Amino acid sequence: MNGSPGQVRAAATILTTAGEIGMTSSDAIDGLDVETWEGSAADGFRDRRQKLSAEVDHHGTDLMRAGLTLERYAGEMEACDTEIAAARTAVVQGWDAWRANPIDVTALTLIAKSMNDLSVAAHKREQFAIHAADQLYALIASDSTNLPGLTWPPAGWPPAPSLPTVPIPGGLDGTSPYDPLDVSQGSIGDCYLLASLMALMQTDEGDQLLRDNLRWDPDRGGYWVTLHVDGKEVVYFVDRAQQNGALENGDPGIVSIFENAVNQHLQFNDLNDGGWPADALELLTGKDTKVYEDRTLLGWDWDDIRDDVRDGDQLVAATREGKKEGMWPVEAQRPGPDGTMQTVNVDIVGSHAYTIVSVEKNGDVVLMNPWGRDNGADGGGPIRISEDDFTRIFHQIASTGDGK
Amino acid sequence: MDYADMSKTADAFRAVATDLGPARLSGLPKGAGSYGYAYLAGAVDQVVSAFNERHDAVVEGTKGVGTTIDSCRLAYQAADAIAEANLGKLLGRLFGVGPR
Amino acid sequence: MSDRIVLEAGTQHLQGEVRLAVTDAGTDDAGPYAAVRIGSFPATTDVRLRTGVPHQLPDGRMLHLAGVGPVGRRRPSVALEITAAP
Repeated sequence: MNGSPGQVRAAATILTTAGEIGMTSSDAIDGLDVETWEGSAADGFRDRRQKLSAEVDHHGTDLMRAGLTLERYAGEMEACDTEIAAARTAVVQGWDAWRANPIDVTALTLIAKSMNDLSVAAHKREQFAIHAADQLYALIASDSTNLPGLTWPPAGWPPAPSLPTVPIPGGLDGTSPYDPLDVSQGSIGDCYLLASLMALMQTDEGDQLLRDNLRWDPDRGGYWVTLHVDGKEVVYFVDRAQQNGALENGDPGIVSIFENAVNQHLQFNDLNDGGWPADALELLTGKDTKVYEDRTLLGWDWDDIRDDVRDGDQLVAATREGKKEGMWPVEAQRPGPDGTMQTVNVDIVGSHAYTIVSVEKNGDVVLMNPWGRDNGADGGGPIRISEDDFTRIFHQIASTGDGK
Repeated sequence: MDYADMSKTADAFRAVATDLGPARLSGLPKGAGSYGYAYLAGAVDQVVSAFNERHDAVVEGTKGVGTTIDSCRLAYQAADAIAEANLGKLLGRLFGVGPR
Repeated sequence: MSDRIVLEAGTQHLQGEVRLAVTDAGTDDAGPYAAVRIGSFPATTDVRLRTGVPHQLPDGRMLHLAGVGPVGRRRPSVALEITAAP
C-alpha cells in the first residue's frame, strides 16, 4: 500500500514537538510582568500579554492536535496494513487450495471472503486518511482565506465556522416527545448524526439514553450534554443552536442540542463534511458499533441484521453515491391517507444516511430520511423498499447490536 | 517605577520569541507517497503553510510586546528628564541659582 | 437585498416558504453546476443551476449559483444567492 506509517509518525513528531514549544512559551508569557508598572499603558500591556498568551497557547494546542491526528492515523494505517496483508495471504492460500482441488467449495468461499476483507480494509484505510485530513482542515478552517481550498465560501460570504446561532428553549430534556418523525436536517451535512439520533429516538431504550446524556441547567440557561469519546465521557455545555441546523417540528429541539455539542467536539468543518453513522452512534452511546457491509459475492448478513432489529438495537444505513443528479429513483411503499399501503415513486438521496425502522420477513427494509417532513425526496416518514433496491443503493449499516 | 525591571521584561519577551523559533515547521515528509493519499498529503501541506503563517505572526507579536515595553520605558524616562529640567528652572527662579 | 446560503451537497434549506435541496454539485464540461430540487415531495422541480444563469423560484424570486467548492473536499458545497423578483 502507498504511504508509510514511519513517515507519518515523523511528521507527527515534528508537529507535537512544535506544539510543546508553543504551549511552554504561552506559560512563559503568562509569567512575564513589570510589577511596579501601573496606569493605562500598563493595563494595555497586560491585556496584550493575555491575548498573546492565548494566541500562542491556541497555536501550540492546534499543533499538538495535528500531531496527535497524524499519530493516530499512523496506527490506523498499520492496523489496516496488517489486515490487508493477512487477507492477501488468505487469498493466495485459497487459490492454492482451489487449484489443488477445483471442487473444493470452502476454498472458493475463503477466496471470496478474503477478497472482501481486502477491499473492506483498503476502504477503511482510505476513510481513516479522509478523516485525518478533515480534522487537519478543521484546525485551520478559520485561518487566512488565501490558502488554496479554503477560499470557501466566496469572498464576502460568512465563513461556515462562524455561522450564526439561535437560542434554544429551556427544559426540552423533560418536555420533548423525542419523536424521530419531528426531526428535519437543515443545511449542515450531518445526516450521519441525525439519522443516528432518530434511530435512538425510535426506541424506549434509545430515548432513555438520550435523556441520560442531557441535562438542562436553569442557572446557566443551557444544557450539559455528555458524549462518549474513546470510552470516556466528555461533557459539553450548549446554550445555542446552529442557525439553519437541525430542527424538530420547525424549531430548535433535542437534536439541535446534540448537533451543537458534536459541533463543539468535531469543529464545524468536520461536522458539516459528512461522516459515518458508526462514529456518530459510538459518540452518542459510548458502545462499540457493529458495521455490516454489502460484501462481494457474500452480500449482507441479513440474519444478524434482523436479530439486531428484533433486539431493539439502533441501525443506520449509508447510501452509495446517487446515479441521477445525486439521487436514486426507487419505487417505495408508504401508508396513504386512508392507512392502506400505497406505492409511490420517491428518491433515495445519494451519499446520505437513513434510519432503519425495520427489516421485514420478505426482506423489505423500512427507512426514514433525516430530511424529515415535507422533504423534496420522499416527503418524510417511513418508506418501505425492496431488499434488491436496498442492496443496489445502500452499502453499509451501522448497528449498536452485536448480530446475535 | 523600576525601569530596569521594564528592560528585563522586554528582553524576556524577545527571549520567548527566540525560544519559539524551532516551532516553525520544516522538514515534514511530503506527498501521497508518505501519507498514502493525495487528499491527506494536500491537507498536511495546507496545515503546515497555515501554521507557519500563524507562527510568524505570534513571533512578531511576542517581539512587538518587548518593543512596546521599551517604547513606554523611553517615554517615561524622557518625561522624567523634562520634569527634572523644569524643576531645576523653577528652583533657579525661586532661589536665584542656576544659569542666567 | 439578497439572501446568501451555503449548502453542503445532500442537505436542504427552507428559504421562506420555498424548500431547496442540493442533491449534487461539481464541475462538468460546461463548468460549475449544482443540482437543486425545489419544493416538497411530490410537487418538486429539479434544476441544474449554472453560474450566471438564474432560475425563478415559485414565489418569483431568483435563485443564483454563486460558486461550487471547496476544491478537493470530500463533499462539494454550493453557494446560492436568492434575489428579489425582477
